[in-house]
Amino acid sequence: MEFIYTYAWLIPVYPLVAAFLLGLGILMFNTWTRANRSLAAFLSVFSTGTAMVHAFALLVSQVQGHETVLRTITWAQAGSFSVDMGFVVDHLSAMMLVVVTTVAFLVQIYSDGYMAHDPGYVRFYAYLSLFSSSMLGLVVSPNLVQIYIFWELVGMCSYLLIGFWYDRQAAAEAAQKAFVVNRVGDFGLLLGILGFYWISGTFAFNEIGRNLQEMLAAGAVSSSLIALFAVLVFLGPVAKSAQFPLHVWLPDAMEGPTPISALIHAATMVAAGVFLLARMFPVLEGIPVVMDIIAWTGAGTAFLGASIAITQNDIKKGLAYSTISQLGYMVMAMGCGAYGASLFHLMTHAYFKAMLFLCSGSVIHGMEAVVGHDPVLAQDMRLMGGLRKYMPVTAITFLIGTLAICGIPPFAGFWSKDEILSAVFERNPALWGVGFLTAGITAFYMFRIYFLTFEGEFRGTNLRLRQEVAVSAGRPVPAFAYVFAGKQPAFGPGAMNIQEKPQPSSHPEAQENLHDGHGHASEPHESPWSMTFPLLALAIPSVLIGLVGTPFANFFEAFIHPPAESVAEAGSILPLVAAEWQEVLAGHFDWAEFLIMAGSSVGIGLVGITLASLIYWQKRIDLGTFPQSLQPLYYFSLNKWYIDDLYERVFVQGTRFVAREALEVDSRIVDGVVNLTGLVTMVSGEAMKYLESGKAQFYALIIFAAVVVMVVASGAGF
Amino acid sequence: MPEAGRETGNRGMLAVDPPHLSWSSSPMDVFAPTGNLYAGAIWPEVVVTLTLLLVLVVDLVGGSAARKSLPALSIFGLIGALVTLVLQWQQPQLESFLGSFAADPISILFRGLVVGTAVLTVMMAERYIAQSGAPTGEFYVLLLTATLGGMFLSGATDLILVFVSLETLGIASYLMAGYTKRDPRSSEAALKYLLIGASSTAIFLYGMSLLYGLSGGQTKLEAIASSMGDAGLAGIIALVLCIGGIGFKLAAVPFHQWTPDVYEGSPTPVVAFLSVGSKAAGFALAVRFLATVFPAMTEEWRAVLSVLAILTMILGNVVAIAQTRLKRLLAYSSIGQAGFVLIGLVAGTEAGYASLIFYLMVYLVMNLGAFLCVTLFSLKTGTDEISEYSGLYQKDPFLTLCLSICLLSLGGLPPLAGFFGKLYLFWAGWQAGAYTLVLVGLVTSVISIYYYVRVVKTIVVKEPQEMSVSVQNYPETNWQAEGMQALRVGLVLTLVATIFAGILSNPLFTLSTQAVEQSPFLGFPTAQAFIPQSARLQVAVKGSLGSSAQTGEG
Amino acid sequence: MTLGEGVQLVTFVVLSAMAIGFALGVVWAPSIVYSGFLLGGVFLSMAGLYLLLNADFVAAAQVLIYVGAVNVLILFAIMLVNRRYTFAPLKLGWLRNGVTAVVCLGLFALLTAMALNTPWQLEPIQPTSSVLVMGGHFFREYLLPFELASVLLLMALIGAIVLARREFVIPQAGEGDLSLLERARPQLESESERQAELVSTR
Repeated sequence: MEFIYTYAWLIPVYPLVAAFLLGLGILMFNTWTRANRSLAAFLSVFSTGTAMVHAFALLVSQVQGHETVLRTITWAQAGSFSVDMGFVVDHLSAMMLVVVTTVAFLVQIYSDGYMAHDPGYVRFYAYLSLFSSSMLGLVVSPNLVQIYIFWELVGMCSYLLIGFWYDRQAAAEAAQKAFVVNRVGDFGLLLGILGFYWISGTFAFNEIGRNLQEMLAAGAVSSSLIALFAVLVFLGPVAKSAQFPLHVWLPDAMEGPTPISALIHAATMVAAGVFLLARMFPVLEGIPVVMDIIAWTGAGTAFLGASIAITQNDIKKGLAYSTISQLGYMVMAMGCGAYGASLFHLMTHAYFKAMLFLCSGSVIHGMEAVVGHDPVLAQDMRLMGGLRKYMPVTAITFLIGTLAICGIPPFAGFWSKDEILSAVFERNPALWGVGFLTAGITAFYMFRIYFLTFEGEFRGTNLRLRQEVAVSAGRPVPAFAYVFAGKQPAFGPGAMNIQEKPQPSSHPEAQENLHDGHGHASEPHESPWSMTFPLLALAIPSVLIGLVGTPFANFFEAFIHPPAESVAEAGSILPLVAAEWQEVLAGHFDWAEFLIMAGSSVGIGLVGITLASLIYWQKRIDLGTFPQSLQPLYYFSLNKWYIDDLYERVFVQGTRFVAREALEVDSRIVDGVVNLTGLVTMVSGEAMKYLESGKAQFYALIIFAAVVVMVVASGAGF
Repeated sequence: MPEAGRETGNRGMLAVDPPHLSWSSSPMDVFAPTGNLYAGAIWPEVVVTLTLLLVLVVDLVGGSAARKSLPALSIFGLIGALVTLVLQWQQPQLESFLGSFAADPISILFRGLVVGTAVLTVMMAERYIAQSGAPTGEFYVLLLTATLGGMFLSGATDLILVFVSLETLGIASYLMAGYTKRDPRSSEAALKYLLIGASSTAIFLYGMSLLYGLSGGQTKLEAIASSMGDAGLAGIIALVLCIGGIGFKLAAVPFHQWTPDVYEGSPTPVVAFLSVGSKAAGFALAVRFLATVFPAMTEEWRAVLSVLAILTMILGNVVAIAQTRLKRLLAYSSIGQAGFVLIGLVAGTEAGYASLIFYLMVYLVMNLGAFLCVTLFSLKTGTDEISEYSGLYQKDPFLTLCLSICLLSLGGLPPLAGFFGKLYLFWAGWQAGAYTLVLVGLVTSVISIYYYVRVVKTIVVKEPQEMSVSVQNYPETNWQAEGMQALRVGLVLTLVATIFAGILSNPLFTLSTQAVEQSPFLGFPTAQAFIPQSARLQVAVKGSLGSSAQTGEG
Repeated sequence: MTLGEGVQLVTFVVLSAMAIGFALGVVWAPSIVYSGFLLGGVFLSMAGLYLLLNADFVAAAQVLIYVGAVNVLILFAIMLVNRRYTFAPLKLGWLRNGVTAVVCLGLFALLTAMALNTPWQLEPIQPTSSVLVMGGHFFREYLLPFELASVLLLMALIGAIVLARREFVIPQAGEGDLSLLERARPQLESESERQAELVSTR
């Protein structure tokens, strides 16, 4: 089995090959590539599938107790300075590889259905493969430099994919926002990396921690300096994992195609921040100040995200804030030293959140048949309702995902969230309080989304409501406009003129709709098989994956543990887990503590669910009966705590003001100087050009003169 | 005088090492001389010569169909030469032909650079020559001869061979520059190149004759070196004259004036060859000549060369800003690039020479890539005005990608190859204490980024109304036409190499470092017997492929 | 001073004077034809100097190649181009001449200083035939340059043919007219048109 390790570097290369071939195809054989788009999809899916099989092989081998494999080559060497590149396969990276490849694989299958009508189909797959490759490269990175390179690469892919429909204003702006916000974090990360290199003289994860501890013990370096660099490094995850105060880009990133939201902005890339924290754990855990900062940042973000998600009307925005909130959980757990719990939640969240996003994509796809290709209308939950009748598969899988995220046993989210909460409780009850409250809100808003979308009456055909929605989105639309929605230059999944590639739809009604344009169906339809299959496939881990991390026989904890704790070093963890099971069966497990913790978190979840069902399903509680005093709170949440507006005021307008002032100064003084130097350069350039008069005799003269001058100059000593 | 006596007299007068002459005592054995001449050292050159003759004969007797195969034939021959060079790397020949020629690792690398340039030039030239209507066969003969001259120049250790190979390279280049003879610009280019070339050859020859006289009649470079210690003014003059001759080949300021005119008037593939292959051979000569002949005057030649380097960087990059034609811009930028490379030579350390070779490798792919793009564009539109490129992004994304990558790499933007090349050069210069040079290099490379990016910006304008007339009438690329496939292969090769030579720079840099270490004439302490070196290289290669695996993380 | 040395000295002085005088004539002669003939004189004087140095073969080669071939070729070329140009005097011509004179005198001064200051390693000339010595050199340590020179000559031959051959193609605008593919700049274009006219009227 050694060869799977020898060739482990191929895992990121498989999708890279696909991306390279697709890119080459688009650039050089454009017409041919467009005509053979299914081949492009197949290539992409196949390469990711290969990577997935390889990753599973590695995981199985690691579970059986194979030792960590680290291989590096010297990437750049100049004298004493050298940077290594390579890959590391340990428990953590094996787990991450499997998570990333499975989600990427399913999302790529899903995209075939979702992007079927889009002219940028092949380009989409090229980006998708490039992203998968970069993400896998990030996961196997053994040192900070390599992780930084891939960090930027995934950022670039995210930027490209958010702005995939670049001619749509909102998408272009969202891409720009993501780019700028991430620069802030990446700059901090880069400074932190360089700082750590300056102190410890290495980029490798395993060595930094060791060197720092030695230096701290020897008193060679002040702990506050290390704390500063650690906080700088933490800025990277803050931006990438959308933690407060740099979370603002993630909701806007939902302008990208939905498969992207599922893969990049829910399951994998945003989790990279947590992954980096896990890699840096040996360094961070020795600095309590930083751990506290991390924990409180996470807790604050978790609450912030959940509280905003309550009032969102856009289904994808709601899920996006839920993602922010869940990432907050992971970061909080990491800050409390619950290494295993945090990564366990990362894994379960990746599956169920990817599924939720894909479901929302399916819903949007179905809604577009009714309201046309307008994202404002197609994604608004006020226009949905009762979709369970029309899209049973989507509804069931969405319900599974919702139960998982709410922490209802035995779904995946229950185990991981429960583990986090109990770990946090041991560390700091105040943090636990925040997490506990957030769990309740989570249950409430998730079921709000579910009920609004899938239960009750279908509201999409209500024209008055449509108009209201369009108006509230700041885009007044004449009542008759959506009749022409199919002919508008609209963009969105499946946006293109229908003549280009009529796709046979699985639904006979949709087929009919093709003749008179989208937007005329009276009811939505279930998505094609290529979209529902990934949903069903993801439902399995969403239900079952949590069972590997039950508190009474924690297989996951035994497998994923901080490098310092050598619990089950060198050897298979299977016997260990078997022993644990026997303990449990023999009745040695402390059920009381577990039941109190679990019971309370399930309880608050149930309270949230009940409340949501009373309001949005049974309609027992009318929202109008709420006291007026709650109105500001509602707007506070709806407007995302006014953080975006604050940033707009302070940073954007502030920058504009400074820029205007600077421009003033610039045009007066600097510009003058620059113009002058530019002029001098140009003039001297032109002058020198004319010195080349074109006369060969003159050239020869200069050569001889140069010889004389050089001899005189260098022979002056004689 | 009796026969035998005369022979011994000659032998004494020639002052040749007796063991090498042992073949003359057994005149019956015809094949013996090769053994002692170590003629295996010139296998690559033999392959090129045979290809040259074959091309000539096929062109003469073959029909028009056979003539179409000439470029392929040339490419195969040149690749054969590359293969023999690779084989030679395993067993370098430090001295052959009684000390005329050395096939040490540095010479092998430089010959490889010249041959590589020739391969890409043939790919570029096939369509260009066909479309300009000039006779094809002779062009490849001239190109192969120039290659041969460059190859011999890279390994020459004898004044006579230096001169003859320099002239072979030079005269072939003059002829190629004037190949499109119906065009007055081409004739003008050839004439100017010839005149200035002759002047600098005269200067170089004067320098060589001084060396000959100072050393009491020696022509071997190493033998001359011993008498250069106390040469005084004559030594300085000889040095400056030699640098003048070499500076012509490098196009270093103030010996550069031929460049713009020649680059503008010559066919584009020829320009590409001159700016890379000829320059690489010039650097090979500079490294060998200065390090072998003038070790006693290191201070002096470093001072002279630093002045040249500073002038070259400043003038090349500043004047390039004012250019309106891409070919001319590349001409001036190649002057500037030579200035950067001179930093490595001035540094004179192991890292300096290694970074010089590494930069030349990188420069080969990126500069030839840019020239391939210019060729393709002028084939399709008949112009190379920079303003005519605007909007190309929308009509030909592939060409845009290639040209942008190559230009940005020439500008030295990370993570492309040129960035790492410059990084190594500046780093080596800084380590060696050439602070002024490195600072000038940094400033001028910022200037160079400006004019390269300006071109890229022109290409990728988004508004359709800003598109130039040429681009509006841009024809669909017909890759099936004669010579277009070769052009395409060249484009893809250089594009891939430009992207990956930077990211995977370490094997190349290791290669250069080893060449420097294992070439005894540079005199670095690790230069020992060359037999175990190939084994060492293998170890290093293996190591870089992952045998340095460590297991266990904590 | 023996008689032989005296004769050598006198011959050297005479030959040097001839070489310098002819060379000055080449530069200063009003007609280019005179310059061409005077160049032959320079070559002959050089051959005499070679003879004085016992280099009989080089002297013979000098006469045969430089006087017999190169100089005759130059004269042919001059006479074939049977056009008299009246060159307008250059602006600041005196400055150019002055600079050139300074450079030349500087070079001369440097070389003279060097020739006088350098302790040349002189060896008495062997009284063997220089042809034999050169033959030995060619086939021993200069074997490689000698062989390369054959390639060089072959290439020069081909190049001469390429340049001299008349191409049987119909010049078309743009494609396949034996010119650069890049369009010329306007002023150059007009120049080439003018030359084309000249060709056609001839």
